[in-house]
Amino acid sequence: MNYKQRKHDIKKSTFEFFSKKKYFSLVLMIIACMASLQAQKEKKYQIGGFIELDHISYFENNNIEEEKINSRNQGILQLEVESKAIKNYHFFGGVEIRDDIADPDRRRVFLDEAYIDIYMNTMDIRIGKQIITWGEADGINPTNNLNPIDYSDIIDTDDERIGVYSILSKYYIDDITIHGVFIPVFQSSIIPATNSRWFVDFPQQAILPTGEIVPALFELQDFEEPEKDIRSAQFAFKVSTTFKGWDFSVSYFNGFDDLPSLYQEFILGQDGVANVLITPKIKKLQVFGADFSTIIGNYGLRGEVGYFRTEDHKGTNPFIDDSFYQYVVGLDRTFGSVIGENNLFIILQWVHQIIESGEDVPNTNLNNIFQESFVGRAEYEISNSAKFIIEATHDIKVDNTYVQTELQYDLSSGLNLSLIGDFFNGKRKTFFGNYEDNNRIQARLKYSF
Amino acid sequence: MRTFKIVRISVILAVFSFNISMLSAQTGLEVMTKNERQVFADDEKIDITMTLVNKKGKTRARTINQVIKSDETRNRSSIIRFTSPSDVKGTSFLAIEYSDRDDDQWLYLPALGKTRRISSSNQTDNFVGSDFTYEDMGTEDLEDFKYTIIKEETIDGQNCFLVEAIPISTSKIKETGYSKREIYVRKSDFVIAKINFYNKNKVHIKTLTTSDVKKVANSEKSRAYVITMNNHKTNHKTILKFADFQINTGVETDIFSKRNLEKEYSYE
Repeated sequence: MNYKQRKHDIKKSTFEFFSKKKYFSLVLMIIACMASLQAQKEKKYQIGGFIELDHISYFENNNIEEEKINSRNQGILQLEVESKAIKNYHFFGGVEIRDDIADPDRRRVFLDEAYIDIYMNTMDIRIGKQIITWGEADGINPTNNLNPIDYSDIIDTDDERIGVYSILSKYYIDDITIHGVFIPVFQSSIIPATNSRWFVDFPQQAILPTGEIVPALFELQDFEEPEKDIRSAQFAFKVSTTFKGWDFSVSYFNGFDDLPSLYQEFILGQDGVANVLITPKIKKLQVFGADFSTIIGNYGLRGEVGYFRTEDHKGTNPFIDDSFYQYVVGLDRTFGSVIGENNLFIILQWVHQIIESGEDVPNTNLNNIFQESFVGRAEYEISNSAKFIIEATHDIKVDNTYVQTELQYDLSSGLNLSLIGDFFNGKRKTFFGNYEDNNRIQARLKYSF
Repeated sequence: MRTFKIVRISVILAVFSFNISMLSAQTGLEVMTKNERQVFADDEKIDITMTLVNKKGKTRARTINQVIKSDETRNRSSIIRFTSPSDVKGTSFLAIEYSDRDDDQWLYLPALGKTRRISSSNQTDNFVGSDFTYEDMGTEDLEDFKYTIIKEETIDGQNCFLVEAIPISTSKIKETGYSKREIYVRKSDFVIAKINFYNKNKVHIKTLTTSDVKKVANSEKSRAYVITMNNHKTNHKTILKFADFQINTGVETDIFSKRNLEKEYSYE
């Protein structure tokens, strides 16, 4: 089964779910809600979640012949139930139902998280499907490698981290916390479908191993993933502490890169056209990490570093990422009463990636986007109910830029409207430059309950 | 040492409390000294509803649960958790005050599942979008001010001392947002009834009023159960309604930890 076939099957199964089972699911959901609401009255459970409506329009329509998705009209219902009915236990479950009429590939019914917390004297354990967040830096966290990500919309990754079935334990000794994570079965990230605007089209030419440039046809093959059993188990440790105003941690991750390495096989036809077979393969990865944060005067100072040791530690396999270091260091500050009585929060970070082999690598690989990048964010409170946010990143090495602007307005308690603009700039064959046609605006209405 | 600023709503309450037995106190400093004694309970738990009202009358409400504990050196630890609305529910602050260095402050954001160390805010910054600044919410060092009883006046049927508070220490003059405060202290129970705030240009910019003053159950302390801050510059106001005061109930010290900050229902 090739990649396209796989996506087709996912699409088909999603369609079948929505067409055949939606009424059954709705009935189940209503029953669950009614049961939960009744339980809430007895103070045993709490039910919450949100309803979100999104519209996205791109400034430039993609070529119709390529059948790319040119908009998104999506609704999300997230239901969350939690309970503290038993002393020293906490239960949480969240289900996301996402329907996108413009991009059926993004439809899903998804168990977001479902876990049980067990609190003991010096130890806490969380068992179940969960999202584990590590790292002191803002947004770009070299030590945060435990959860895969849904990249089906590459710039909409805020809420797209995918929970993993795992055991998280925290053992406390005075100010020291020892974290242990065991993930019994590997789960990969979701990469954009071939009809997505975020799927970068293959080039028309290929460079053969001999160095010769020939016309080429690319074809995606089956994913080669680790076995979906204990053989793909992953684990991680972290030791964190607080000492005289500093937070520190060191960590180690042993598992898999959740993004595939793309193996290429060339078959040169008699007509001089190369058939290039692309096989995505999941490879082993270790990450040695550390981070810190402190306050200096009115400034927050934070930093994080990771050494990513890939399977191609010696840099001899052209299809596997070379081992690399990545560090992030940043300052943040809140300025009060900037205009009127409103606050302004600013954070500026420097991200640097160093490839161990010394080779230059393209930043089009998701693992290599931020090579020598400034990343900044500013949040200004226009009023008590409105906020303007601008985030930007510019890589000085490969010269590409991404800017996101957002205007948030609280219509009432729990009801928020956001207007978001995303803008890309850069040379072709750079990560953000490849998406210059994907400048877009987004309207999001979200009600939390 | 940086003043412990971030979430000391209950400190306001303490400022409004006073020792009834000292009716003979007639100087401004004596009034405020007695008031200060009431500020530091060993520990205190409070449920607060904060209502923001804009100039058009539109309201937004947030509910907060706070626990405070003072140690033997009067350093204070505080943990505060937003309990509503849903989009901020679970957001929590932890602050630990030290005598010999800057305070530790962390913010837990449940949507990100992440705890961040944060810097102390400026005294003049507004507290979570309200009309209270961190200075308004904090304790004050009596040595930083000159207190003078100006006159006696009746506020809402209560006879009050009007105490004028003017910053005199160099550090306070630098960090405060006010040139003067007029503090009305009730004679009957020494709870503060009203404060007029004057900015650096000596313009009356805010007025704080209290109501529903009563003794806390199982405690000798009195508390104002409603506090309103009117901002005359923005025509915005913030109303704090307090419920379920629990004072000196023996709160455990280990509640004030990052471990606890990230837990749900940690201090219920």
